[in-house]
Amino acid sequence: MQKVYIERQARQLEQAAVAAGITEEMMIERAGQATYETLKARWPKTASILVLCGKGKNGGTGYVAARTAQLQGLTVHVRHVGDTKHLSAEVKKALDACEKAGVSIKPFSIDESIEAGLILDAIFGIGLKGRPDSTYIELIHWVNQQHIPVLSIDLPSGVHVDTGNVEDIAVHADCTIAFGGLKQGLLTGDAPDYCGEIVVHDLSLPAPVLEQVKESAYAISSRDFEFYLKPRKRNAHKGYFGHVLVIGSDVGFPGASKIAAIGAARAGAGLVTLATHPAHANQGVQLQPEIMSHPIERARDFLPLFERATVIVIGTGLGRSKWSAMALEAALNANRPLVIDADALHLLAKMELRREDWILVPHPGEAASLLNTGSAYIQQDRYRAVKEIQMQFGGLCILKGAGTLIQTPNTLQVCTSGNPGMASGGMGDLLAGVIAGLYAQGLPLEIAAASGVCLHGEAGDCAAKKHGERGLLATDLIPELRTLVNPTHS
Amino acid sequence: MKIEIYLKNTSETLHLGKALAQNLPQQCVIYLKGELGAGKTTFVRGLLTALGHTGAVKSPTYTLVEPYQLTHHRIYHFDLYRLRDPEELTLIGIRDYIDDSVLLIEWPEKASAYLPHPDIEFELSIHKMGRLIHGTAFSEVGKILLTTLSKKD
Repeated sequence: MQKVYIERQARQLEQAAVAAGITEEMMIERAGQATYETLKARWPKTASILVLCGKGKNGGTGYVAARTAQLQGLTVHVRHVGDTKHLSAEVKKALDACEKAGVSIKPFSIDESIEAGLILDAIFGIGLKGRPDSTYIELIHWVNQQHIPVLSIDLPSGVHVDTGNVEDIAVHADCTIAFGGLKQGLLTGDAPDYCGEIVVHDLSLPAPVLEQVKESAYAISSRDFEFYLKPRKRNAHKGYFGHVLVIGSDVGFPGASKIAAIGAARAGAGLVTLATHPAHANQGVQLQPEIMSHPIERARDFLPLFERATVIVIGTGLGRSKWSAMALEAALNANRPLVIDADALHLLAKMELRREDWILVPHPGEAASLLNTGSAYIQQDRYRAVKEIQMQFGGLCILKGAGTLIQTPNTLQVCTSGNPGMASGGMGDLLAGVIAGLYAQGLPLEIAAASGVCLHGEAGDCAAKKHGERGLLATDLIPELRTLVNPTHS
Repeated sequence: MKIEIYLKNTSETLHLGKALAQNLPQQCVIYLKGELGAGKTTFVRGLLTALGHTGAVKSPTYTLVEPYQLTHHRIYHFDLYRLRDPEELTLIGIRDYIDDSVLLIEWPEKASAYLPHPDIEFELSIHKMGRLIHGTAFSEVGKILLTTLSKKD
């Protein structure tokens, strides 16, 4: 688990460091040195670099890195953006030291051609306010046209530090080095397309300084949940591991709920039952003989199933017909925790309900429907959107997409595993099933949600590593998932 | 002057926004406080729709302000949730927006000293299945508006 900050907290961290005797100058010096080391470790053969420095502390880090590189024998060009008259004392000092070391420092000009093997982006750090103006847009565009590696300091210039949104343009980095901890904006929204590999450097801030500032979120991976996935007791029986009821498959949508049912079973649920429109009865058995299947004609057909269920998954392939509405209504009255996905979310958007024992699992389009807005609004600030949905509907909300967010009443978690190969039909259905399967076997609701997202994303990454992202299907994740839910065996 | 109204669902929140629109002067400043999901934007949507706006109501995160030129009103909708430094408001020249305009300001607490004084402040909160709205008037204009709202209830 890694702490994640917003800009305000990152500033507080700097202030806490200063109060503890670590001056801004020292922090810039450490960051600059570390930038050079990262550069050298990742691109050991690079002999010449172009460092683009802005006016803020980010630029200061750039000057220190440039000076260090020069002293190590690299050919270094520094170009500054904006005038150098109004620099803060620390940044000015870094610039002067850089000049003294013999580095050529000039204003950036788009007409100049510079031979360099790598660009160090020290233009904007976490301090960018509003949108970059036209000079910067031109510069960033130029950087992206050079087709040489780019290392960004703190975050790729143009990426919003708190949301990860890119309004006009941002630097496409190959690697981003985040000082003083991860920032929210590196992890979701547009950012995953711009950040490249993310390296975190803590600036050697001592623990008492770090403890003074509260984080806004945690970045999580399945390793954080191994405690909940210990080997089972030898005398266990299926009754220990709960019963997942998957409700879906209206006429014409036979597949989705089957994938959810398999997800639940492979995540380790003791029993899984699939309740479908009578047109698709017995589909579960056809696919996987262990999965029980029940036709549902009217609400009362659900009663014996609810009786046995530990948790209900509803929405995958549910459709939006009268049958769908009847099924959702029944599930809402079943007095069981609910995992709600897909069509059920669209139906839910029209009802005004709040409850604590449900997990809503929207993708951006479904989230937009829940908040009566457009998906562009959701993507522009995913952190805000997930919080808004959780506040409005209660329970837990999982906002899917690059950098999946898990918002509970008290915590926010970000999962960065997963890949674009997972943008294919059935992936969401599988996730809903996995979460229900984990809850059924005894994991708390919040843990089931967070660990389910990580296991699902990592299973996708394992599968993509073997055969590529394109053409990746939800069912391809199943063998990987099985390995991952048994961490002591992997 | 203060009022308190319980809004049992979204349509009541929209309706209150509409009611406010009916006596809205050409120039006033309205603060909207409350957590995410408390219904501030829904309230704004009700108000704008009643004044003749037909499209979506955007939340201006980057630009901080979204202008609406409507039949009888010029409205500026501020959303300061992602405001990091109140200085940004000086940069966009917030003082220039005030004349003959209605300013709807969400998250005013992010920049209180930099904002014009409100005629009314509304605070929304989630309460049971609905929302509770507290209105406080800080000027004569504000008092008149709140009075018409409380009569409607």
